[in-house]
Amino acid sequence: MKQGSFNQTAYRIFLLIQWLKEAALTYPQINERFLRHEKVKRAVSQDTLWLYINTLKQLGCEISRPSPSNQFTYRLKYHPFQVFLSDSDLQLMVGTLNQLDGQLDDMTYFYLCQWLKRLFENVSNSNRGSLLVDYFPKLANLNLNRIEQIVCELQPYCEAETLLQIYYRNDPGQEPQEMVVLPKNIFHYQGQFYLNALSTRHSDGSMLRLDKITDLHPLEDEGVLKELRDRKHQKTLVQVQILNCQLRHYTPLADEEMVTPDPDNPAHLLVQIQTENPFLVKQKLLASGYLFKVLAPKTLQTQLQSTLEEMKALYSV
Amino acid sequence: MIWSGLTKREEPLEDKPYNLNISAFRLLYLYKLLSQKTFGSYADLNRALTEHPLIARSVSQETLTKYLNTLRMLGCQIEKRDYDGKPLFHLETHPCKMHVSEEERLALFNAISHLMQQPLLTRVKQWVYLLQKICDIPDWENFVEGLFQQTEFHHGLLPEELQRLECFEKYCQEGQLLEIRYIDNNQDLLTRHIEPKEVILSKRRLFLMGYDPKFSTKMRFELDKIQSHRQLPNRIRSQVVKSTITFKLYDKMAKQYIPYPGETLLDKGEFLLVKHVTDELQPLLQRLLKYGPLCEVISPPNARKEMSQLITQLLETV
Repeated sequence: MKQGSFNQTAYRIFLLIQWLKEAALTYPQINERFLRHEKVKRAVSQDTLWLYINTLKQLGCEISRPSPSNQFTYRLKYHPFQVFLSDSDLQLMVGTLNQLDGQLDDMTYFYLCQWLKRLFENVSNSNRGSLLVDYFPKLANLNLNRIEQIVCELQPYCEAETLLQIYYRNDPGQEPQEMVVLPKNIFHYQGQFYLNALSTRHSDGSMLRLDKITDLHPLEDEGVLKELRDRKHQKTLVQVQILNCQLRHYTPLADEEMVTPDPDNPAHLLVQIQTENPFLVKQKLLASGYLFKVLAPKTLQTQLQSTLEEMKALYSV
Repeated sequence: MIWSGLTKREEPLEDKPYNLNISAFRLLYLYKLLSQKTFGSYADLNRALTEHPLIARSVSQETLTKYLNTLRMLGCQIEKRDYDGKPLFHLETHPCKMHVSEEERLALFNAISHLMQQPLLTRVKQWVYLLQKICDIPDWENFVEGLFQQTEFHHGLLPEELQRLECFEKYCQEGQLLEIRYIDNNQDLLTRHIEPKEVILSKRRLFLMGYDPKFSTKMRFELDKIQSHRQLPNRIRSQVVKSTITFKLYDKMAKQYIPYPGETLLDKGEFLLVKHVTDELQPLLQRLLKYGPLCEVISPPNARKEMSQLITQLLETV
């Protein structure tokens, strides 16, 4: 065999995959590329192109055929020349992402989600259609394009402290509800992206899921703006004693918090959190796995007690 | 070449297996095999070609070399490595490998840097290897080399803790039964025989995950709370039975709930019934706690009892 001999047809088909991977192409555009390519330098007939496409389809490629609706282009929707994820690979991914939970900044988390979604759409596993739902169901439900779009819209308003009229669809079957809010910042929490805002409806801060915001407009109302801006700077100091926990093993519950060993009992920690949303702190405390005692404010302690009593009542029978 | 004699017609005969270029098909099928699996010897590759119904024949070593040359010309980096005296082919990189955008690349680097601040270095190395297998990341080698050249990792462990971690990781690899004396949440000292599985990091705490063969359940034990430990001569059997935990969700929780892996939902109108299959109860119950009175564990009785105990414990301290 001559050094460097190769299979011409396979070579051309491979080029076709690479081109179609980048863009949808018409038959003349494909031929133009074949003619320009230094190792091919020839056009192929329509029949030959069909043969190439059929060969790719038999290998598992999904290619849409030319039609008036796609401007007579061939478009590669999927090809099987990507990695196969074994069960242990998938378990490793789930475990690693759980390990990173709550530690990544919003941008890193967003692009990690984007990468994962793209990966799962393209792996060569035969069950790739259900893989994301099976292993990362929250991510499967996340509409990243919509989130990116709404982040771009909201970001300038957060920075400029602009009053907004927001339409928010809480339940899929319901009409969106109108809300007036002062946006503060965007953040992610347990697989969802939220807008942290102050609204005229709730005395506490509001966590609005970005994918539930259907529309938003800037609003001019000096009175409401002043009221919400004043509230923005009011924060509640939450003081919690975390029982039987050492400082180096403690995972922060909030961004603005101070943690010290309890001077009266070094086995415990004292945590002080400045928050505009005590409800979120309550949720985080319940899910934290720590045994804890709320020292202040009294309202939060009472709320937690009544929540736990309601929960206990469910198990009393 | 198998050619069905495609004649002039308006539409080609799609999806007919004979209407393809079989030689190109063989070559591209070989590429598919190499891109999906890590290694393959001549014999492995030939066997896979023979097993494919459209190919159903082996090819000579010369033809296989020609195919590999073609792939190399197309930008595939195929390495031949000796493994136990047998040459194995490994597709290092290729044009169809997943590309990452600049933002994704930075996100992956950032995620790895975070992982490096945690003490489970084995997992970081597995993750780095997996990423390398999955996608083409610009500047990857320099980044990884730089990371692993660091002699000090900022995981915040004291030397004796690191030693303890390594000891338990070794137990997991050796696969023998372990006896531990452990302080539980009620500060009672308990003795347990467990099959050590892995050491995990959760909320900055290190846990030994193990199976309790007596109850066929998976459990986690915080390393700090293990008072003493010794390896027993018995090999582990790892016969874990997964159980189904059923819980009800009410009101807005029922409307908004997105199922987690291993869950099935049954809408009962007044509530949503969720069936969650797991071999580990604790993390699930911890998650359910935050749903407050909008969630109720129904069965099995031990899960219901444990949830009730967790609530009582919190109520006593809060």
